[in-house]
Amino acid sequence: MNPSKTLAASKKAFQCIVVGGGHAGCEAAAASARSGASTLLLTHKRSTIGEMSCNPSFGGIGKGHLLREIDALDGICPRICDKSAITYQALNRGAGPAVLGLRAQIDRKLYKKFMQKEIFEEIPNLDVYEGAVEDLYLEQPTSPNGIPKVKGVILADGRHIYSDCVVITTGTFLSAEIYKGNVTTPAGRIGDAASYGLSKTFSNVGFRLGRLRTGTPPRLIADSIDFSKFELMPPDEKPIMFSFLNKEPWLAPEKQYPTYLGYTNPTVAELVMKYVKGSKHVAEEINGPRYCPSLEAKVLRFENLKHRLFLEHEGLDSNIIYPQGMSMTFDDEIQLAIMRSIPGLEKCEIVQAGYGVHYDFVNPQQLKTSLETKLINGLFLAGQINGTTGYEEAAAQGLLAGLNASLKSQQKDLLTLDRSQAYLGVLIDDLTSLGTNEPYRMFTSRAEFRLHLRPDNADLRLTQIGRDFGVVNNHRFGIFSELREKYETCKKRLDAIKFSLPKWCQILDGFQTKASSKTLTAFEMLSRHNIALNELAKKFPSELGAFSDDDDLAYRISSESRYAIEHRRLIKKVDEMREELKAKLPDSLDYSKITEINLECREKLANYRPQNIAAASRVPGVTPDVLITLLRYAKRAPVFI
Amino acid sequence: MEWRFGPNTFTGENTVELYLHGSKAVVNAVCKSLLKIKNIEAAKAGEFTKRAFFNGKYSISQVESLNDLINAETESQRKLAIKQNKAGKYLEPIREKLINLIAQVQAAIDFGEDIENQKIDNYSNIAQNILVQLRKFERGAKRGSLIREGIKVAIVGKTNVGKSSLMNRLAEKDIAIVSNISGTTRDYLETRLHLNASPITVVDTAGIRETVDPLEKEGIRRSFEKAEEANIIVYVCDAPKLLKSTFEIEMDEILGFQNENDGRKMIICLNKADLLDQSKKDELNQKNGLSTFLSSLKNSINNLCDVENDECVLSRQRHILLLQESIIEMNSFLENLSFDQALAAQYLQNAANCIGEISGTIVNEQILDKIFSQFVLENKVYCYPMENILV
Repeated sequence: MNPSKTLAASKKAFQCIVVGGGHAGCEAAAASARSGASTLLLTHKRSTIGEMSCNPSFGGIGKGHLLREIDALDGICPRICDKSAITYQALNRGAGPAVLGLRAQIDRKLYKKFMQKEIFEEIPNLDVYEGAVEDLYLEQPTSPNGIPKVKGVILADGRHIYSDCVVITTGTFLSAEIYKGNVTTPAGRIGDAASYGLSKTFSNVGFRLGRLRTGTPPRLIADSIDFSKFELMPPDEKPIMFSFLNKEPWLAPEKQYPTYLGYTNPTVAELVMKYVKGSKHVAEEINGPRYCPSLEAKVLRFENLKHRLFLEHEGLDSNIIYPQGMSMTFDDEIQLAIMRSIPGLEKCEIVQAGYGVHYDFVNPQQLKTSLETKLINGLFLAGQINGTTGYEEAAAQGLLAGLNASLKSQQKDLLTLDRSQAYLGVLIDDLTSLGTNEPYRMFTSRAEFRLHLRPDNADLRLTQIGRDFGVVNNHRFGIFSELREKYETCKKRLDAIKFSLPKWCQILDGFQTKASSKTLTAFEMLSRHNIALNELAKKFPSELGAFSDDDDLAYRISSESRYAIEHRRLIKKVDEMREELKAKLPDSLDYSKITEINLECREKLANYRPQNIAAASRVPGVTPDVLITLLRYAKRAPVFI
Repeated sequence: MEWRFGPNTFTGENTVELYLHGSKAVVNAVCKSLLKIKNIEAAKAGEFTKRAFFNGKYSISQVESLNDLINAETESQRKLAIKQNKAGKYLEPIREKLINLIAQVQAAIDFGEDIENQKIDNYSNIAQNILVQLRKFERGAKRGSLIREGIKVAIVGKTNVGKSSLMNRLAEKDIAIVSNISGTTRDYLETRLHLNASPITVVDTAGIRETVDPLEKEGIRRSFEKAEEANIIVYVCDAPKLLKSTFEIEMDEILGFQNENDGRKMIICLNKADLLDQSKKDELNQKNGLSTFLSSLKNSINNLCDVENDECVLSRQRHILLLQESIIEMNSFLENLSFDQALAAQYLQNAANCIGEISGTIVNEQILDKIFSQFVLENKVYCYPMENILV
């Protein structure tokens, strides 16, 4: 068949097709449409769009950072989280603004309702079809070194839909099998069929696939639980919203629901040890998420430990409780026995038993940093299919893949983010350069620039970039521009106010410090001496009066001040490392004076006079030791000039 | 001829060793013949060491110490070189402690919800312990650097007290011109010699007195400068001319050289003692002669270069600087731990980077990559139930 003829004959073609309606798919479709491409979202079932398939919560440490970045790029899920959150409980509140973990319990029904409303009604340019994608429609390369080009997708019923850019976000559905007890069922999620066709397509094209496993806990009936046996964890008094556009929660803190903390015990461990031998899910040598391990995995590793479990409400009017930390794959009656051996759950009832899923993922080293595959032109992958775990990781990739597919379809430059710009950059760099052999989860410790990549400045880091690439709409950009203007003016004025410490002692009431003639700016005073912006505004009303009583601004500015020095050092070090091999050796360098280097080597260097360290490494006799010595002289260049 | 198979060779690669007659002509002829064989090239200088390094046989610090061994001038430098070979090994435990601590702090940040209590006191105890060791390493490194670079001895004093004669006696040859004319030595003069198997540099300086001669003035300025740089100052006085009253004034001058806590030694040498009256000699009740002076000089040298046996000896300036930096970073860690763990963790990483740079476990351009992957891996090991590890 001649593809160009088929294309001409087709009635319906889209600039971009997104396959899958999970967190990655929704964000990808929205970003693609928002940035101007006519977009089609293909899903097995319209009704499962916006489904939170596992835990009823969003955010966490590192994950909250990703949500703020998604929001900064005008993504949809942080806003929808804020519309459906029923408990805000931020983590790490005392550990510093850089590692604050935005987190909230989310009402499943509300989330799905608002997500579907957004996808079905509020995004122009976006169509949604039901259908199972079985294969990709590819145009084979004309040159021997070329790669195939995607031309569309082929559905199970034989329909072809055409597009030059396709984003696949099929999550855990590729060749998925559900494990419970000793029973294995091919399925991607309870009640949803697995997808084998695409797995085959990927293998045929030559993608290297791997296999991972994940799991979910049994769900309990709230009425059957004695919550008084658990430690009550109240919602935050001052909730922190996910979206920069929101200031207040829709549900007042006093109306929000608590969560409950409990522990496992020796009986639980005993039961797990007794039945785990028959478990196929755990026995098979497939890597599961190490950071959200199944109960089996936890007990196998640390049998004698009390493991934590949290009881979480699934919604405002839901009678279902999600026991976080209790993911397991035993037969139903064993799951019930285990749950009932926990104080407070003696009479609990299970609505849906826990289960495990094994699924194929595509080795992400086969992706470019734009999330386009290296093997098929125009094909983008996002979410769990790339080996990640978690809603936030999926959504963030979805946004980038959807945006880039859209940009590509419009022949525009693609957006890539590096490790120094965003957690999303760290995530993509880790995946594409190192690959993964377990479900990849975001952590703050993965980010070298953690002190700079904060939740509070995600918009300052990314919104302008998003705007430049066409994915940030006018409404948000207007609000952002105003804020940025205010922030930058405030920062500039703080920088301009400069006094010696004794002078500061006179200016600020009750401020005292050791005698020192050091001069500090008002910006530095914020963090070095813990002076509040409001206090400074009182003392300098003409310069700073406009910035008083703005908690958000005060928080942003003081966080920036707190980390400024270390961040600068870090940047310098990384630049240094990048530059080091290029580091120039001064022409005037007197090798005869570098006594740390042996005479023979000094003479050689004096003869060759290498221009830089890289060149020096090629001088005969120059060892790593000598290079290290030389590096110091390259840095100390001014002394010799 | 002997075949040796990697990795148990110097470079880690397969090696053939040829044993030849020691004549240069034979060696050259064999080399020439070898070079005619296809694919055989002469090794570049340092190539064996470089290959050994790239094949993982040596860490940077071992390569550095090998270099020192080859260049070792004296017995104590040789011993030091052998000790430094163990630098990586010595530093490894402390680096491991640091990385474990980082893993714990990182885990506390990333797994806050899974960890019972964030045991800040515990972290700070571990950090204090590391600090104590770092300070000990720093002291050792300072001593090591003296051995490596040689101790500087400056001979200073008024004019015509016999400084140059003393210098000549120490060097056992006539280096300096001596005369009984005040101000013979106009500029400083250096000589290197070995004492107690340690290399030392002796500097003879111009005598100190009031003068209007610009040349002599400059010479005197340099005398003070040399005294500032020296590790040991030998202050020479003319014993017969020394009066109790003027000695105290002179001492003031001498004390002017001595900073409070820089660990410099001072030896006061009462010269020309043979010219003293017997009564004064008795009064001073001092043993005399060059041998007494030498033994007290040796004592000072030993004190400065005393290498404790179990102490890691890092002798390069680079090591000292990095150790000092790591100490500053550890202190910053302790200051910030209770109020901003993200910031504290950064300081801790900085400290670990410094140590990694010394032990050569991390070569500059790989710092982030390596540390990063190590930390993340380490995290994985320790992170999940922290309770277990911390109890």
